[in-house]
Amino acid sequence: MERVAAAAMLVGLAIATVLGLWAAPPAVRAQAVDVYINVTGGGSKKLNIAIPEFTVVAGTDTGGVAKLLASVAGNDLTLSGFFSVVAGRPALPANNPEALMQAWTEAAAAGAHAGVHGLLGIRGERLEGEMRLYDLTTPDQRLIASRKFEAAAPQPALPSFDWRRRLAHKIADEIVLQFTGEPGVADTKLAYLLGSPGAKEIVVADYDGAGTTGATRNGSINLSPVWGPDARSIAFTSFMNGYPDLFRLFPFEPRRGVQTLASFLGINSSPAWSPDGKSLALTLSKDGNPEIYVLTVATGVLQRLTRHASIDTEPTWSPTGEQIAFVSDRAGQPRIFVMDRGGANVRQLTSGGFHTQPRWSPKGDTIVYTQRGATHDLWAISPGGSSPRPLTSGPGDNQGATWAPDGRHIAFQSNRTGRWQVFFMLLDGSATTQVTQGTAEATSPSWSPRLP
Amino acid sequence: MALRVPFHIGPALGRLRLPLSPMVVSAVAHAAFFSAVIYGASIWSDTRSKPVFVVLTPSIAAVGSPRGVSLPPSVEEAPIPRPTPAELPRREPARDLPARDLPARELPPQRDSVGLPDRSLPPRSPALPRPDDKELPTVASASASTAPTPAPARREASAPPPPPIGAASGSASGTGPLTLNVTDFPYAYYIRQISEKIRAQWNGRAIPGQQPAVVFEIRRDGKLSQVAIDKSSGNAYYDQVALRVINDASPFPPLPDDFKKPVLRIGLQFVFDPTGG
Repeated sequence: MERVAAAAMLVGLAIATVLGLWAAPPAVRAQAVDVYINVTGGGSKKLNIAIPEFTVVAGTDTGGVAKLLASVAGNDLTLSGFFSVVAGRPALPANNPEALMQAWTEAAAAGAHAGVHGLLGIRGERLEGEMRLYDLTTPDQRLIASRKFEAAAPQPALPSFDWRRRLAHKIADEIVLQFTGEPGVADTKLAYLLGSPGAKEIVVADYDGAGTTGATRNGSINLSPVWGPDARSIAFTSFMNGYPDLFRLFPFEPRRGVQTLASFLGINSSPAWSPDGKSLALTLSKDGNPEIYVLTVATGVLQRLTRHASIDTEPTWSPTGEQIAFVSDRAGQPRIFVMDRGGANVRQLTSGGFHTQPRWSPKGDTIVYTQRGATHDLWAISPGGSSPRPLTSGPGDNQGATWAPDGRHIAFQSNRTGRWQVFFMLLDGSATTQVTQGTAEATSPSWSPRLP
Repeated sequence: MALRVPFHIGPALGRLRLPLSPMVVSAVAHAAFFSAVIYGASIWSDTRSKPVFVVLTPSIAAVGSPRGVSLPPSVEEAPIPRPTPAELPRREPARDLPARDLPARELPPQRDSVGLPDRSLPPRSPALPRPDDKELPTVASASASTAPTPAPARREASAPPPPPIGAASGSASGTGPLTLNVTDFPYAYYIRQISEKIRAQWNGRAIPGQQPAVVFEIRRDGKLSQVAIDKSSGNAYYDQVALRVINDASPFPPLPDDFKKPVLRIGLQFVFDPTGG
């Protein structure tokens, strides 16, 4: 009997072993590798993308919108710094997979890595756009993503607000998101000053310079426009009442008037919105020499941050709202300093130069500033004070930087063409683009957050 | 005695009495041992395997390299017969990729002083094809100087014989030396994009001789959901650098619409390439 029991036990064990061995591999297979990649060296390369004229699927396109959307979105993709746009192509037929495949095969042969099939429905003063993004590096041209957008003419009408172009900007930003994980900055605005030294008005334009519109018409001197974090208002200093007071205007709400933020004795200047939009850091000279204060906008409560016999001005917030960088000449020449938002823990960030106009990156990892040498040039430094490096080195003066919300682009003013104009570029100095072209001097740009 | 007759199966066993209790103990011990082995193997393979495997080599890693190992200029010039996707080995063999072996071991001795585990595998360059591995020749390994012209990037489309990777497998994307082979995640653009983002963060933080492997997961919206060290470099600092590189490179692109899994799991091996850059 013992041997029967032992034999049965051994047989059972053998079965269990076999079952165990057979059961284990499926788990391994289920988790098996799908992709093996080996990447070596080489810098970042641009992605070639084809964006043919949009296909009109509803309504009639009398205004050339299909072509406009493709060209504006294509330009946005170029300016993003991530893409090279493969030369324009005619519209693709709707609902024709064979023709689409043929078009993509041709685009791929021309070097495209990705293709955008835009579909456009036109219903009066309303546009329905659909973006279908294809990966042309795979033989079967896989669909990456498909997204729909709507745009309608604003009510009440804003003559300057080109809502058709905005649809293209939104599509371009979505394409950037699909390839990088972060949306682009095409759906943003630039505010800047336009005019002679005796009269500077604030104007607002698309980030690419299109659709310039006056935001102030007071015939006075207006200074330092700064977008609020909600991209709805612009704070600025103006002499419209005879003194340098601080105001706020609402560029997309034509019936809403200018609001006074601060009109203390002396100068009220260099506004900087806190990241939550509730407070404003600014420079006031009401107590003698220029000092930095924080104004809580809803309550009007004022808190003084700096107490020093030298000039303290041009505050800029860290994106967390915990720290403020500013300019002070307490070390002899103007230098960049950093303090806590309550004014404590002041430390000197830059040394050995004449440094002004600090602007903290929305990503938090960089502060750009203007260094005065033979020319004015933009420099960047980490908030910890390490690795200061030049971003521009001529020609002409380059100063007054403002960050795009992606932390990759900066706009600035330069007189490299002989007259002050607004430019932008990527932080590495590439893709420099002249935004303003007119005969009037364009200065002091402020890049808006992404529009709501 | 008559009862025992059927159990006399041979002369050798003769009148031997079966030792029952030692047999039971032995059987139980065997069962426990094999169960432990099987269970342990499944645990091990679960934690070790991952759907995507990436090897990055920084161009900047050449800094401080005494003299680069001379590599064949391009994988393209040494084509090898490629297996069809059906013949490709499963994930399991890829675990002991020779690519993890250090190219640095071919360098002068001071580079060996970092205390690397002694591998029996022959030293090889990461860019070389491995016939026994599911690696394809570099599809778009045009040198960096030719990259701006779009034509080479689409080489696999214009080449007369289409690569046998087939419709189910996709192909390498874009520009730069990049090799990939795809079975279940045929989104070449996606791998390319995350590789670019990670490499952009990695540049300037070269880690010669210290090669951690990390595993991370990307959620559908492109956000990082998990990142962990898969294989330590043996140096806590470099392990931390690797984790930080992945964190800083995120967010990644949203997962493709047609890829239905909730997360994409990626294994990534940092490789020091003395010939980089």
